[in-house]
Amino acid sequence: MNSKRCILSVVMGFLVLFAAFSQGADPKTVTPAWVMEKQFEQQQAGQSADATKATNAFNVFFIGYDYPTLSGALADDLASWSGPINFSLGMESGTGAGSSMLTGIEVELFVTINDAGSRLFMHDMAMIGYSFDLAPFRFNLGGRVGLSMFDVMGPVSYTGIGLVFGPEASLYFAVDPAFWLWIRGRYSMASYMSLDSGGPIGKGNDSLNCVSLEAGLAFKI
Amino acid sequence: MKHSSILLAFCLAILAMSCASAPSPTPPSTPPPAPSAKTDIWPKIYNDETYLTTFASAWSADEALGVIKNLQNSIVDFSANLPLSELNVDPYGMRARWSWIENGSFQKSAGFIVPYDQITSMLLEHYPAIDKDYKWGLLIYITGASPVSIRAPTREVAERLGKAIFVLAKARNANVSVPNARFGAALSALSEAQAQAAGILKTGGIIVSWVFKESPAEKAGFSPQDIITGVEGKPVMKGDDLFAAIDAAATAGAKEIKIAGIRRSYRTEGKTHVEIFVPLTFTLAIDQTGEAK
Repeated sequence: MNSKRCILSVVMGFLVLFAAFSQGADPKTVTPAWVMEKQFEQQQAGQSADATKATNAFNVFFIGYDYPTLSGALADDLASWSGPINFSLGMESGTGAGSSMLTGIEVELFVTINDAGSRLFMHDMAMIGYSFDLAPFRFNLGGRVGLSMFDVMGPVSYTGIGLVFGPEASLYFAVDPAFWLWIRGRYSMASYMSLDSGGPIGKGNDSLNCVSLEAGLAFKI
Repeated sequence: MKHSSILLAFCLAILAMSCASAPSPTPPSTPPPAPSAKTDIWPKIYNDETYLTTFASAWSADEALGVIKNLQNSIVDFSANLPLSELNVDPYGMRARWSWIENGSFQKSAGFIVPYDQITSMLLEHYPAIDKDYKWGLLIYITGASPVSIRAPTREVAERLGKAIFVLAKARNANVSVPNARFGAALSALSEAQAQAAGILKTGGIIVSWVFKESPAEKAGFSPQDIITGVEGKPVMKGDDLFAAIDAAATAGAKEIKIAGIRRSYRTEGKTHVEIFVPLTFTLAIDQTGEAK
């Protein structure tokens, strides 16, 4: 019985093998190697181009000195707190190597500490705009919107938190492919609510406009 | 100072979050490694297209001479892409010149000669990728000289020129080779390296160098670099074996013939591409009016 099973298995095996190898595949179902090699080359070329595009995109970290000029209802209350420690930092990223859409974030921080007390004033803003590639310059136009906060600790202490928005323009100059000098001008408007009962915001002075003139360094990231 | 401390901590936290979520173009992921091209042992792939034609016509030699003369203003040299300034045609050959101005004042000229009795083969070419208007052409192989490549604006012009040259070459007893009309692919002997790569015994075999457009071979699914191993169950040692089998089948009135072959391809395994050789069966339709050579 076992020998019969063995013979049957061998015969079946041969039949299966014969069925498998007696007829080759339909040529339409097998892509030639040279066609696939061309596709691979095109894919790689496309990926290399994407990589080059990503590498060449305007994508910087910046830091600079900020000179704010305040106006509006709150300006008089904050005028005595003006000081020299004002700076901004952030990042900007273009979507392509040439002229392209631009997004970014920025923090402006104005710190004053003196005998009367201290004031911290900050804008946290996101930006969307367009970057014009004018090599070696880049001219960026856009608008920012974000959060504005200030905290005054002095003879009268108060804290405000509000919404800030406004247009801006900046010009970058490429000193090196990885290093830029830049200047920026922005007009922003903010409206606040108070976290404290006292202070000018509680009296209705809740708006502040700011012209920021900035200049600094930017590094490719 | 309590408020200031809170605000400062808040500022720093927002700054940290802003930096962490800053948009930045992410470089594309590393592409899977492409297989290295095996063009060192496999037939080269050409960008131009070669069309199947036997350049057959019923023209006399005089008519053929007239046709060539009439085409003078319709043809250009392949590389110069300049109209011919001079075309001299007689029953022995075709001589052409063209000229151009270089650096504003230097007149240069160049030319070609096609001696009819030295022609070994001709091909009707199409150059779809070329950035010129003259995308059709004729490639004329000449014994002991570089091929002459002539371009024409249309297929009809190129084909008329080829037919006329073919008539005159035949009149001069040139041994002009034409493609096998019942098959329509250029074949080469299978090299030992190719046989070894495909895992077959090097006891013969042929490989397709290129496939003519509009040919029975193209319709049957043949591709450059296909290895032909057998026809109707018999091994193929050389091209003549294949053509003889096709002719015999045509004489016997067969409508089609089975040809066994092997195709080089790739199988993708994860991120790698593995070279494979797949046995194929081609069904070649037989044109009863065709003629094998």
